[in-house]
Amino acid sequence: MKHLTKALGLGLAAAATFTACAAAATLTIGSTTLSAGNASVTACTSSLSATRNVGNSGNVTQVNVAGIPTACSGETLSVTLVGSGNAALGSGSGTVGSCGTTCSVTITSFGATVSASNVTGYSFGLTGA
Amino acid sequence: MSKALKALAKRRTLFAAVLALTIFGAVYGFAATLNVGANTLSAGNATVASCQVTGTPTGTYTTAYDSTIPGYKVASVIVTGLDDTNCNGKAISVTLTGTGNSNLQTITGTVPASGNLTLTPSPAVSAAAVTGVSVAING
Repeated sequence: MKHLTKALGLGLAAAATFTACAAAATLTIGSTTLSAGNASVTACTSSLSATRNVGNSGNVTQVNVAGIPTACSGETLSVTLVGSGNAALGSGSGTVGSCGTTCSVTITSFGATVSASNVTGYSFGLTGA
Repeated sequence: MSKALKALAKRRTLFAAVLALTIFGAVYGFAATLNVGANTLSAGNATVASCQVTGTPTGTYTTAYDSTIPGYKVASVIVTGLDDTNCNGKAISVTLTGTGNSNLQTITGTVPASGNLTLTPSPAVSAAAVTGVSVAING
Protein backbone atom coordinates (compact mmCIF):
# COMPACT_ATOMS: atom_id res chain seq x y z
CA MET A 1 0.00 0.00 0.00
CA LYS A 2 2.84 2.31 0.87
CA HIS A 3 4.65 1.66 -2.44
CA LEU A 4 1.43 1.99 -4.36
CA THR A 5 0.77 5.36 -2.78
CA LYS A 6 4.28 6.59 -3.55
CA ALA A 7 4.14 5.35 -7.13
CA LEU A 8 0.75 6.93 -7.63
CA GLY A 9 1.94 10.25 -6.28
CA LEU A 10 5.13 10.34 -8.34
CA GLY A 11 3.34 9.27 -11.47
CA LEU A 12 0.70 11.94 -11.07
CA ALA A 13 3.32 14.60 -10.40
CA ALA A 14 5.39 13.59 -13.44
CA ALA A 15 2.36 13.46 -15.67
CA ALA A 16 1.27 16.89 -14.56
CA THR A 17 4.74 18.32 -15.11
CA PHE A 18 5.19 16.91 -18.62
CA THR A 19 1.68 17.89 -19.61
CA ALA A 20 2.27 21.48 -18.57
CA CYS A 21 5.71 21.64 -20.19
CA ALA A 22 4.38 20.19 -23.41
CA ALA A 23 1.68 22.79 -23.46
CA ALA A 24 4.23 25.56 -22.97
CA ALA A 25 6.46 24.29 -25.81
CA THR A 26 3.63 24.05 -28.32
CA LEU A 27 3.80 27.29 -30.29
CA THR A 28 1.15 28.08 -32.81
CA ILE A 29 1.99 30.71 -35.39
CA GLY A 30 -0.50 32.40 -37.63
CA SER A 31 0.09 34.72 -40.58
CA THR A 32 -1.79 37.31 -42.52
CA THR A 33 -1.66 37.32 -46.29
CA LEU A 34 1.16 39.02 -48.15
CA SER A 35 1.45 39.68 -51.85
CA ALA A 36 4.25 41.58 -53.54
CA GLY A 37 5.71 42.13 -56.97
CA ASN A 38 7.75 44.42 -59.15
CA ALA A 39 7.48 45.71 -62.69
CA SER A 40 9.69 47.81 -64.89
CA VAL A 41 8.52 51.14 -66.23
CA THR A 42 10.09 51.59 -69.61
CA ALA A 43 10.37 54.70 -71.72
CA CYS A 44 9.82 54.59 -75.47
CA THR A 45 12.12 57.56 -76.00
CA SER A 46 14.47 59.76 -74.07
CA SER A 47 14.51 62.77 -76.34
CA LEU A 48 11.90 64.81 -78.18
CA SER A 49 11.96 68.15 -79.95
CA ALA A 50 9.27 70.44 -81.25
CA THR A 51 8.65 73.40 -83.50
CA ARG A 52 5.84 75.90 -83.26
CA ASN A 53 3.69 77.87 -85.67
CA VAL A 54 2.81 81.46 -84.85
CA GLY A 55 -0.23 83.30 -86.14
CA ASN A 56 -0.49 86.91 -87.28
CA SER A 57 -1.49 87.91 -83.77
CA GLY A 58 1.75 86.54 -82.38
CA ASN A 59 0.17 83.63 -80.61
CA VAL A 60 1.17 79.99 -80.88
CA THR A 61 -1.25 78.20 -83.19
CA GLN A 62 0.27 74.75 -83.19
CA VAL A 63 3.17 72.70 -81.93
CA ASN A 64 4.69 70.01 -84.09
CA VAL A 65 6.55 67.13 -82.47
CA ALA A 66 8.38 65.01 -85.03
CA GLY A 67 10.89 62.20 -84.89
CA ILE A 68 8.93 60.21 -82.35
CA PRO A 69 10.09 56.55 -82.32
CA THR A 70 7.58 53.98 -83.49
CA ALA A 71 7.88 52.35 -80.06
CA CYS A 72 5.75 55.24 -78.80
CA SER A 73 2.91 54.41 -81.15
CA GLY A 74 -0.41 54.40 -79.34
CA GLU A 75 0.81 56.48 -76.43
CA THR A 76 -0.49 59.87 -75.40
CA LEU A 77 1.87 62.80 -75.86
CA SER A 78 1.39 65.82 -73.64
CA VAL A 79 3.16 69.10 -74.41
CA THR A 80 3.39 72.08 -72.13
CA LEU A 81 4.50 75.48 -73.34
CA VAL A 82 6.84 76.77 -70.66
CA GLY A 83 7.54 80.41 -69.88
CA SER A 84 9.64 82.45 -67.48
CA GLY A 85 10.29 80.76 -64.15
CA ASN A 86 9.25 77.43 -65.65
CA ALA A 87 5.63 78.52 -65.52
CA ALA A 88 3.13 76.53 -67.58
CA LEU A 89 1.62 78.83 -70.22
CA GLY A 90 -0.57 76.20 -71.84
CA SER A 91 -0.78 72.46 -72.40
CA GLY A 92 -2.17 70.15 -75.02
CA SER A 93 -2.06 66.49 -75.88
CA GLY A 94 -2.39 64.11 -78.77
CA THR A 95 -2.13 60.45 -79.56
CA VAL A 96 0.88 59.02 -81.30
CA GLY A 97 -0.61 57.13 -84.21
CA SER A 98 0.62 54.23 -86.23
CA CYS A 99 3.49 55.31 -88.41
CA GLY A 100 6.45 54.15 -90.45
CA THR A 101 9.99 55.05 -89.52
CA THR A 102 9.11 57.79 -87.07
CA CYS A 103 5.91 59.38 -85.86
CA SER A 104 4.75 62.95 -85.47
CA VAL A 105 2.05 64.65 -83.46
CA THR A 106 0.53 68.05 -84.06
CA ILE A 107 -1.17 69.86 -81.21
CA THR A 108 -3.34 72.86 -81.86
CA SER A 109 -5.12 73.44 -78.58
CA PHE A 110 -3.35 74.53 -75.42
CA GLY A 111 -6.19 75.48 -73.11
CA ALA A 112 -5.23 79.14 -73.29
CA THR A 113 -3.96 81.76 -75.71
CA VAL A 114 -0.19 81.69 -75.56
CA SER A 115 1.91 84.50 -76.87
CA ALA A 116 4.89 83.11 -78.73
CA SER A 117 7.15 85.73 -77.23
CA ASN A 118 6.54 84.31 -73.78
CA VAL A 119 7.50 80.74 -74.65
CA THR A 120 10.94 79.80 -73.41
CA GLY A 121 10.68 76.02 -73.82
CA TYR A 122 8.63 72.87 -74.16
CA SER A 123 8.04 70.09 -71.74
CA PHE A 124 6.93 66.65 -72.89
CA GLY A 125 5.23 63.72 -71.26
CA LEU A 126 4.40 60.36 -72.82
CA THR A 127 2.12 57.88 -71.14
CA GLY A 128 1.41 54.40 -72.31
CA ALA A 129 -1.87 53.27 -73.74
CA MET B 1 -4.11 -1.63 13.96
CA SER B 2 -5.76 -2.13 10.62
CA LYS B 3 -7.73 1.09 11.07
CA ALA B 4 -4.52 2.98 11.89
CA LEU B 5 -2.82 1.65 8.71
CA LYS B 6 -5.77 2.58 6.59
CA ALA B 7 -5.80 6.09 8.04
CA LEU B 8 -2.09 6.46 7.36
CA ALA B 9 -2.50 5.23 3.80
CA LYS B 10 -5.32 7.73 3.22
CA ARG B 11 -3.16 10.58 4.54
CA ARG B 12 -0.27 9.59 2.24
CA THR B 13 -2.57 9.36 -0.74
CA LEU B 14 -3.95 12.78 0.10
CA PHE B 15 -0.41 14.14 0.49
CA ALA B 16 0.66 12.72 -2.87
CA ALA B 17 -2.36 14.20 -4.58
CA VAL B 18 -1.77 17.61 -3.01
CA LEU B 19 1.91 17.45 -4.02
CA ALA B 20 1.00 16.59 -7.60
CA LEU B 21 -1.51 19.40 -7.84
CA THR B 22 0.98 21.84 -6.36
CA ILE B 23 3.65 20.95 -8.97
CA PHE B 24 1.09 21.01 -11.77
CA GLY B 25 -0.15 24.40 -10.70
CA ALA B 26 3.36 25.79 -10.32
CA VAL B 27 4.48 24.62 -13.77
CA TYR B 28 1.31 25.84 -15.38
CA GLY B 29 1.78 29.11 -13.59
CA PHE B 30 5.25 29.48 -15.09
CA ALA B 31 3.98 28.59 -18.53
CA ALA B 32 1.25 31.20 -18.38
CA THR B 33 3.66 33.96 -17.41
CA LEU B 34 6.47 33.00 -19.77
CA ASN B 35 8.89 35.81 -20.41
CA VAL B 36 11.03 35.42 -23.50
CA GLY B 37 14.70 35.83 -22.78
CA ALA B 38 17.92 35.19 -24.60
CA ASN B 39 18.05 31.57 -23.65
CA THR B 40 14.56 30.61 -24.67
CA LEU B 41 13.55 29.46 -28.10
CA SER B 42 10.14 28.95 -29.48
CA ALA B 43 9.58 27.95 -33.05
CA GLY B 44 6.75 27.22 -35.38
CA ASN B 45 5.71 27.40 -38.96
CA ALA B 46 2.94 29.17 -40.76
CA THR B 47 2.03 29.51 -44.38
CA VAL B 48 2.06 33.02 -45.84
CA ALA B 49 -0.71 33.06 -48.38
CA SER B 50 -1.35 35.59 -51.11
CA CYS B 51 -4.72 37.27 -51.41
CA GLN B 52 -4.05 37.95 -55.09
CA VAL B 53 -5.55 34.76 -56.47
CA THR B 54 -6.88 36.05 -59.75
CA GLY B 55 -5.71 38.88 -61.98
CA THR B 56 -2.41 40.74 -62.29
CA PRO B 57 -2.01 44.13 -60.63
CA THR B 58 -0.89 46.59 -63.26
CA GLY B 59 0.28 50.14 -62.73
CA THR B 60 -0.65 52.87 -65.16
CA TYR B 61 0.07 56.54 -64.82
CA THR B 62 -1.18 59.98 -65.56
CA THR B 63 1.19 62.90 -65.84
CA ALA B 64 0.95 66.62 -65.35
CA TYR B 65 3.38 69.48 -65.76
CA ASP B 66 4.98 70.71 -62.56
CA SER B 67 6.98 73.93 -62.60
CA THR B 68 8.90 72.94 -59.48
CA ILE B 69 10.59 70.01 -61.23
CA PRO B 70 10.40 71.56 -63.89
CA GLY B 71 8.83 68.98 -66.17
CA TYR B 72 6.18 66.33 -66.07
CA LYS B 73 5.40 64.65 -62.77
CA VAL B 74 3.49 61.48 -62.02
CA ALA B 75 0.06 62.94 -61.32
CA SER B 76 -1.46 59.62 -60.30
CA VAL B 77 -0.70 55.95 -60.18
CA ILE B 78 -3.64 53.75 -61.13
CA VAL B 79 -3.37 50.13 -60.05
CA THR B 80 -5.83 47.91 -61.87
CA GLY B 81 -6.39 44.18 -61.75
CA LEU B 82 -6.39 43.85 -57.98
CA ASP B 83 -8.22 40.80 -56.65
CA ASP B 84 -11.27 42.60 -55.31
CA THR B 85 -12.71 39.40 -53.88
CA ASN B 86 -9.79 38.38 -51.70
CA CYS B 87 -7.78 41.58 -51.26
CA ASN B 88 -10.64 43.99 -50.61
CA GLY B 89 -9.91 46.16 -47.58
CA LYS B 90 -6.27 45.13 -47.27
CA ALA B 91 -3.40 47.60 -47.05
CA ILE B 92 -1.50 48.23 -50.26
CA SER B 93 1.85 49.93 -50.76
CA VAL B 94 3.00 51.18 -54.13
CA THR B 95 6.60 52.25 -54.51
CA LEU B 96 7.89 54.17 -57.50
CA THR B 97 11.50 53.24 -58.08
CA GLY B 98 14.25 54.99 -59.97
CA THR B 99 17.79 54.36 -61.09
CA GLY B 100 19.49 51.64 -59.08
CA ASN B 101 16.14 50.58 -57.69
CA SER B 102 16.11 53.63 -55.46
CA ASN B 103 12.87 54.41 -53.68
CA LEU B 104 11.45 57.58 -55.20
CA GLN B 105 8.28 57.44 -53.16
CA THR B 106 6.03 54.94 -51.43
CA ILE B 107 2.31 55.60 -51.48
CA THR B 108 -0.08 53.64 -49.31
CA GLY B 109 -3.77 52.94 -49.55
CA THR B 110 -6.45 50.32 -49.16
CA VAL B 111 -7.60 47.91 -51.82
CA PRO B 112 -11.11 49.05 -52.80
CA ALA B 113 -14.05 46.83 -53.64
CA SER B 114 -13.71 47.80 -57.29
CA GLY B 115 -10.20 46.35 -57.54
CA ASN B 116 -8.93 49.55 -59.15
CA LEU B 117 -7.00 51.99 -56.99
CA THR B 118 -5.83 55.52 -57.77
CA LEU B 119 -2.99 56.97 -55.70
CA THR B 120 -1.50 60.44 -55.85
CA PRO B 121 2.21 60.91 -55.18
CA SER B 122 3.09 63.76 -52.85
CA PRO B 123 5.48 65.52 -53.08
CA ALA B 124 5.87 65.50 -56.83
CA VAL B 125 7.84 62.71 -58.49
CA SER B 126 9.40 63.44 -61.86
CA ALA B 127 7.93 61.09 -64.45
CA ALA B 128 11.29 60.92 -66.19
CA ALA B 129 12.91 59.47 -63.07
CA VAL B 130 10.56 56.49 -62.73
CA THR B 131 12.02 53.20 -63.92
CA GLY B 132 9.90 50.73 -62.00
CA VAL B 133 7.03 50.10 -59.66
CA SER B 134 6.67 47.70 -56.74
CA VAL B 135 3.38 46.70 -55.20
CA ALA B 136 2.77 44.93 -51.90
CA ILE B 137 -0.55 43.94 -50.38
CA ASN B 138 -0.56 43.13 -46.70
CA GLY B 139 -3.38 42.23 -44.42
